[in-house]
Amino acid sequence: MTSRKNGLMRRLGGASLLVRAGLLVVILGVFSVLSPNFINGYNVYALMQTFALLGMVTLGLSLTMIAGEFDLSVGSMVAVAGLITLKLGGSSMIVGTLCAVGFGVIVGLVNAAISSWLRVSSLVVTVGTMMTLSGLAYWIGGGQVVSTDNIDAGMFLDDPILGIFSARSLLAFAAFAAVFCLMRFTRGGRDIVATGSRRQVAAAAGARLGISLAIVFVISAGLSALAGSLIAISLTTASPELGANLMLQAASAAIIGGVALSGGVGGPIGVMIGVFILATLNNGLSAMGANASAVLFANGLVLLAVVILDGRLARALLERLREHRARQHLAAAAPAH
Amino acid sequence: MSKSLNALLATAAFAVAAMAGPLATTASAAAEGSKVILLTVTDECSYCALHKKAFLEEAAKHGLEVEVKINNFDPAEQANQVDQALGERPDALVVWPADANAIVPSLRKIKTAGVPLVVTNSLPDQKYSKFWDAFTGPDDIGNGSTSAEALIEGFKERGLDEGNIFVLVGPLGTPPQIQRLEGFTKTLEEKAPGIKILGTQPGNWDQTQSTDAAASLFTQFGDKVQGVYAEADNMLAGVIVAAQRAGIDPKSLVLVGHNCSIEGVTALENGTQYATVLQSPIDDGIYAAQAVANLLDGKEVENITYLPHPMIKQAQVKDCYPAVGK
Amino acid sequence: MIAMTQKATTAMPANPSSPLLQRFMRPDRLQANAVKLVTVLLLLWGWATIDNFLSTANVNAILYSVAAVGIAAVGMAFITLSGNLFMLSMGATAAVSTIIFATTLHLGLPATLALVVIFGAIVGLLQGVVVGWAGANPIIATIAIASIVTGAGALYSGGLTIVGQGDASWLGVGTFAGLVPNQVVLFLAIAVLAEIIVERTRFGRELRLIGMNPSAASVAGLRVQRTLTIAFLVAGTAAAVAGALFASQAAQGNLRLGGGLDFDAIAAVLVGGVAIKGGRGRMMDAAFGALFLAVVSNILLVKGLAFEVQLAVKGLVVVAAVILGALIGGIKR
Repeated sequence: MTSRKNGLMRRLGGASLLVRAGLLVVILGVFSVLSPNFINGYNVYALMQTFALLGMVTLGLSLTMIAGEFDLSVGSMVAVAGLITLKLGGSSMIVGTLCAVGFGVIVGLVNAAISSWLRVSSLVVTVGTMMTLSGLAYWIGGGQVVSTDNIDAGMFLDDPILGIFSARSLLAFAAFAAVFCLMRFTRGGRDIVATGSRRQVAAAAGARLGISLAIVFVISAGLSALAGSLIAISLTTASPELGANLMLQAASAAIIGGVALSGGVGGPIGVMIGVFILATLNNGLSAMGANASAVLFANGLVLLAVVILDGRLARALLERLREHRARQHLAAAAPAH
Repeated sequence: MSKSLNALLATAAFAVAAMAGPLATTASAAAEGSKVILLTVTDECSYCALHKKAFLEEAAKHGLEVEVKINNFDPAEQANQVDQALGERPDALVVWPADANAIVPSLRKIKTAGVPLVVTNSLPDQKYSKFWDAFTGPDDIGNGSTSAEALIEGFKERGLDEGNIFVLVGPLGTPPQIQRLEGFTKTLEEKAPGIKILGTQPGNWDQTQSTDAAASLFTQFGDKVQGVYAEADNMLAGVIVAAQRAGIDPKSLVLVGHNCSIEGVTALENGTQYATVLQSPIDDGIYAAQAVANLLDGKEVENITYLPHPMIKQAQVKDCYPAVGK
Repeated sequence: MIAMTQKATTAMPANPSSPLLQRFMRPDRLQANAVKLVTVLLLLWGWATIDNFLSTANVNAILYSVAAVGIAAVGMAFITLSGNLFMLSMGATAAVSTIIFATTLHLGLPATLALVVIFGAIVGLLQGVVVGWAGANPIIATIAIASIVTGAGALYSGGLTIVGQGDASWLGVGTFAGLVPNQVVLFLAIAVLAEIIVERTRFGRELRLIGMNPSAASVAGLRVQRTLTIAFLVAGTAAAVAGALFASQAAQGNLRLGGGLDFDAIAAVLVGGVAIKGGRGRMMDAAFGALFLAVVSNILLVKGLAFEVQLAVKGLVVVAAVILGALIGGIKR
């Protein structure tokens, strides 16, 4: 099976993270050559801004994936959170954001409750949540786009810090750091991984399934809500259409970042690299003047390739390859009969 | 997952992505001159595609070098593209806002960076007019007003100076929806107070939704209406279908739309639609290109320039041919 | 009450309740039957309380709105029955089908329909291979294919609305015996055909068994991969046919038609009583689910409520159906 190296390397997923980081560097290099203006302050800032939204959403989604579930409602949550923020924010955006995140926490609890109590696949529960949230998004605004005059709040969130960062992107990095600590240093984190790998065994060994599910779904919905709230403040507008492609991109980024759909595998660092790989890809294509349809097509191809490689057939082939190699090792090591 | 599977996965992901690279198209004229970046919405809608084409042709005539960035009506992505564009230090920017409200912070950024700016098609709230140098695009209040005049003429031709209609509007709360309805109702009240609007439903610029919305309105008001106004011809196409299915002959109603898009042209030519108002994407693109060229030449440019909005009935339908690519 | 009925069916006491009621209340048919009953009740209520509700115009409106979604729902039911949850590429397939429909209409309606069916079959087959053979996650794989199909369609059509040069009125507004729209006849034919295939053929029985217990099915020697591939092929074709129905309305195609099809089909399947876990439910259940939702939508629309409210209602209905289904399934255990 998977070789167990010393503690640190195993936690970091070993060489696979290095491979991914290397891939990111390669992509950056390729686009720099193809497009002369690629690496400059503004563009890196633009990349970080993409990370602020996509990264936060992907982080939440990937946690549910690590626990062996999937939260399809993250995209709709982004839209609804934006609407709640601007509708209730009024003069103080912070109040609006708190309300939005609070709503996210509630929805996360509902997702977790229905999934674990009724033992229904979260894929299905979150389809229902997603549809309800979509309708809710239209209803909150009365079918209208909601906007605010408070440009200054958005400027505060987006003003460049140290040239390439902004308050929003730094918040996203902070979220990643927090989740990293959760996964690495707390029992909750270990339970989440256990819930995803072999659920019955984990339960027998004492992992707390219900709490794990609650944690991941609350974090997923909460982070999506936070991201949606912040982007609405930044754009001074919230609409039901926002975040339409987010779920697709978040799923791609998570899988590219090493999180398996089957659960139990992956971590925040890999996810961060995965998000940057996807964001750089889209940024680069856009810098080359690509059509929106071409980008959609490319994203679809990437996701398809990634999901096939993550599927049963690919794993079975890999198993057989490993067994074959293991047998060769044994044959070489054992004394000849 | 094991290392090898990871590596395989990552490499495949990049290979697939690299393959998609050749699908990217750059749009830039070879002529020397100023560098202009056009930030526009998807060309997955005929109007948008024609707008871009007309813009590029006119810009080429002025010797401008144009780079195009496209987003799918996604304001977050467009904000990102503004950041990217500013990084390329262009001589001017032309922006078609994905959302006229959401674009305002970006407009402020562009102004602060000191780059000449033309906004095209979607007019942001005019209290922010100091953030752009020129706006060119449709006058939606005028558009609605002309539609109302067409409707009144249609009623007169049938000897009616009063009656009932219902209205199909675009997505609620968006500027075109609000303004076209405003222009329409104001003109209707002034010039034909006997014509009443019995009901309004959103068709959301979507033909299928419009069919459903119109079907419900026909159910409610059926034989009481003599006409329908839809804020877009493709929505009116849905109204026509709903009428046919309800057993009402569309030619017996005064149907007025807007745009003179291909749906409108088809319906006008076979007589099911009475009139529409031409909003030419060609003019829209040309005006924007002319505005940015004038700006770069140092000429005086109006803060707001509106497109013409002629009324089109069956006799004038050929005027719409260039706008639909015929 | 359900427990009582369960006992009643397993050990026949001297209980005077009618056998029909017992059959109605059987746990695995309870939801499907309840939906049919509620649909009838809603229709009666609408007739009593809303003007013109059962007028020709409104009945036609209901029938037309159920036809395309119903066909897609029946296709979706094949996927759900097999235990592969949902196919989230139906909207994209339908949208590109409208483009193909309009582009080829000048060849005549029968040829156009044939081409659309072939397109749907190819897209479905592709997904069948990816999910059935390569074992990829069905939800993510179908989402990926949806992007690819949409992107390709957009690149081909350049985003323009394509006006068909031909006569699609037989499908668009034509009626059978002057009464029933042809679209509805097509929908009924497809639903009945699907029901027969699933209930009475070997393929159908294998599909159901795979849904109930995939590992047992493959151990027992069933041709799992082949069956799943065929199921996806059927579903893709159904989506394409739904697209043809949309396109025939005005003989035009563009990528915005058929947008909400995935949600609508999923809602119809779940509400109708096809179990999410797979293995339980009938094709006619999905068809009735579509009818139920169409009636609900129509009532909301005629009462003047916006389509946004309908969307929220549909989502809540799905959640409620999921909860209800799980509860009933749980009691059965």
